[in-house]
Parts: sequence; C-alpha cells; structure tokens
Amino acid sequence: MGEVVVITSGKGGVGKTTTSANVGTALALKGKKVVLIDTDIGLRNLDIVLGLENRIVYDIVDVVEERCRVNQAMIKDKRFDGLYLIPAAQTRDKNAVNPEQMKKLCGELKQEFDYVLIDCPAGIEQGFRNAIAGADRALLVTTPEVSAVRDADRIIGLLEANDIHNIRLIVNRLRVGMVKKGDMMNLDDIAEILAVKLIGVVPDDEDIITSTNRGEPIVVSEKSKAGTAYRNIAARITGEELPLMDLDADDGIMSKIKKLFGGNK
Amino acid sequence: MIKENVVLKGDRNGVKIVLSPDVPFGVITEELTAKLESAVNFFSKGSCNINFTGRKLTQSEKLELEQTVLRILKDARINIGYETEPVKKPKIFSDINAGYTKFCEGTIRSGQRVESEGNLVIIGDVNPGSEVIAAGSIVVMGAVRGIIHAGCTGNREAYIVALNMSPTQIRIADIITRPPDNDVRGTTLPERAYIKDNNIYIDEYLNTGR
Repeated sequence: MGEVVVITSGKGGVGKTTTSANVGTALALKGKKVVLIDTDIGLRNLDIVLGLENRIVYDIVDVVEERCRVNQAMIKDKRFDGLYLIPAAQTRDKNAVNPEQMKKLCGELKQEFDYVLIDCPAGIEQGFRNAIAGADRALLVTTPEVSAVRDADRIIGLLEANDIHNIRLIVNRLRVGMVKKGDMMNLDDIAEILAVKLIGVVPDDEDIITSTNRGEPIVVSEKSKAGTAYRNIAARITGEELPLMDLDADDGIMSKIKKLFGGNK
Repeated sequence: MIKENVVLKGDRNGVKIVLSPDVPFGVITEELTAKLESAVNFFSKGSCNINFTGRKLTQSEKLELEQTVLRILKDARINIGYETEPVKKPKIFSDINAGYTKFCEGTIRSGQRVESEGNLVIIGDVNPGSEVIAAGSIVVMGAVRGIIHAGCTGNREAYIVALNMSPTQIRIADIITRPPDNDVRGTTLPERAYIKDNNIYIDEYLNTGR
C-alpha cells in the first residue's frame, strides 16, 4: 500500500507545482510507481510543467463526477514509465470536488501506486481542504522570506488540526550568496520559527525557469544543483538517509545546514 | 454520493415512479418498498395513477411491482400503468453548410469554455487553457491555441478553420489529436482541419482544394 503525500505552502508562487513535478519525476526515476494529482482546479499548471498539457482528455472533475474511470484520466508521462498525472479541470472551480471524493480517490490510488503526490493550490480554502483530505503526510514548501514562512506556519497549524503530523519542510530558492551577506533568512531562522524537520534545500536556479517553460522537469539534468536537490528529497522520502548537499563548498553555511539537519532528526 | 434508484415524481396524471436501469431488480423493489412505506399517508386518500418508467420490465417484474404497490398501499385505489421512456440519443448536428451558428466576439481566455449547439464563429483568439466546442464547424478569426472540438455530437464532416492554427489539442467528432512534441512550425497562414481516412489533417485552405 502506497503513501499519499500532499505538497503545500499556503503562499502562492513558492514552488509547489515545480516541487511536485520534480519530486514526482525523481521518485519515478528511482523506479517507484507515482501518480501526481493536480488539485488546483481552475488554475491548473502541473500539466504544463510536465509537458503533458496537450494529452489531456479527462480530468479529476470527470473522475469524481463519474464521467470516466480513474485510469482514463491518468496521463502517462512521456519520459518515464511509472509516472502518471491526473490533471485538474481548467473550466471549473474548486467547489467541483469535495474532500470526501478526494479521500475516496486517494484511497483507491494508493492501492496501486507507491506514491500519490498531491499538488495543492495556494490558499487555505476549499482547494486546500480537498488537497489534504486524503493525505498521509505533507511536504511543506517555503522560500526564505518572512511572508512565505508566516504562511507556512499557518499551514502547519491547519495540517496538524487535520491529523497530518508527518510534515517535512522544503526550503526552496535559497540564495547562498545573499544568506552569507545577511540579506536573506538562513535555515536556522526558518527552522526556529517552523520547528518541523527539514527534508531538503533547493538552491535558486535560473534553469528552473527554462525547464518549467519547456515542460521538462529539471531532475532529469544531472548537472543542475536544483535537480540534485530534488533527487535527494525523493531519496529521503523513500527513507534513505543522505547528508544535505554542498550548496557552496567554501561557505560556512554548510556546517550550519548539517548541524540543522542532523540536530533535528 | 448516493444515487437514488427509485424516484417518485408527481405530474398531471398522478405519480410517476422513475426506476434506474443500472441496478439489479432486487434493489429496485427494496427501494420502492421503503419509499412507498414512507409515503403511505400521501396515497391514502382517494384514487391515484401510478406510472412506472425509466427501465424495461419483464412481465414477472411488472407483476412483482404491482404486488408491492398493492400490498403497501392497500387502502388506496391505485391504477398502475407503464411508460416506456423514449431512448434519448443525441442527434448528430448536420447543418454544417447552413444552420444555427453562434457568433462570439473577443478573446477566449484560459478557463473559459464556449459551446455551440450548431456552428461557431469566434472573432478573436482562443488562448491556451480554454475550450471551444461546437456540434458543427468552427471558424476562428484569430489564433487557436487552446483545445478545439468541432462536430462534438458526432459529425465527422465538421471542420475547423483558423487564421493561425496552433492548438493544444484538436478534436473532430470522436477523433482526438495533438501537435507532435517539439512542434516548431513557423506558419501563420490560415489553415483548415478536417477528417480524412479516420485522421485529422490540417491544410492551408487558400491554395489547396480539400
């Protein structure tokens, strides 16, 4: 029986969809059977980031309204076997699905898949409630900004209120140079406020923009640091223990990161 | 979601009882019994017509329904009849050359969906993320970048014309196709999409005959 993992953040634009696409792809690269569900009904993006937009015939609303079977709505990824996407509907809104239906869908999917990854919409309304309804654990994405961390903190409260206690933090878009100069929140600052275990740090990487625009997840590229970070996160999800990667070899922050990651285990 | 398999409806002639065709007959009788038992008071006064509809019934099934009704509503005078629901088949729209046509002005944006029971003319662009669906042919006086579906009720003669044909997906009748991955066509000439030999073709229509 697989696991249902919701990828959420509260704030918009911090990288939930990019994280979903990359972690999902990385898990598939490791030979896991993965299905991604886009729950951002009305503002769907995950299909674009994966480059599968033009393959959509049925979507999640068609599934819950029983116009098609679940596996008719599952789009097989064009690169990796074992990776599937259930897209959101674009011409409907969040109220087209309710938490009960999501719970049922997740329950069915985790019989068949190792990981069911749910890309949550921004906000804390119906879309969020749908996304977390069937989740066993959560990946919380934040950026090193006060506003994003504040929203993440709110989300942790809501997740715990909904009995999701397995929460792991991803700090996205970290700029080592700025942290060094003291212009950006460092990992200690974030960890102190949120007090959840860190599962990965993704450095800010311009290549992400090109890769999402092209519909090719960056994990495929061996050279990219962000890609490596996502592969490491996927490995940690499966239970492997990896040290945090060296974002900047000459930088003192490495020891901080190590300390943080080790100390919070 | 609980779907009702037996639905009671009042109409001019009395009470219509709609039976679901999708469940075993046993479920029907069970639900009917429950429904009638809760409505005994409603039927107790005077006479009433009951019409069963919604599913094909064999003689023995009809007999069982009648017995159920009479057993529960023993105090009322009931006339039982049967209606065979006309099978609704969506009619294939065929007035492609002359017929109902909807005109739509402005850009169709992501998340918007435009439908027409007949032909459809869009004076504007069809953006990615939007859906444009018509039972007949579709003419777009602009660029098509979203999903476009002509002949949606099954007419394979329907076609799509656009000043710039770069759709996410094209559907005509029951055939779905999409541009090849890494499609880098530079053409911005007006084109027409149509079905030939079970495939969707896209041609320039100004110089080439169909």
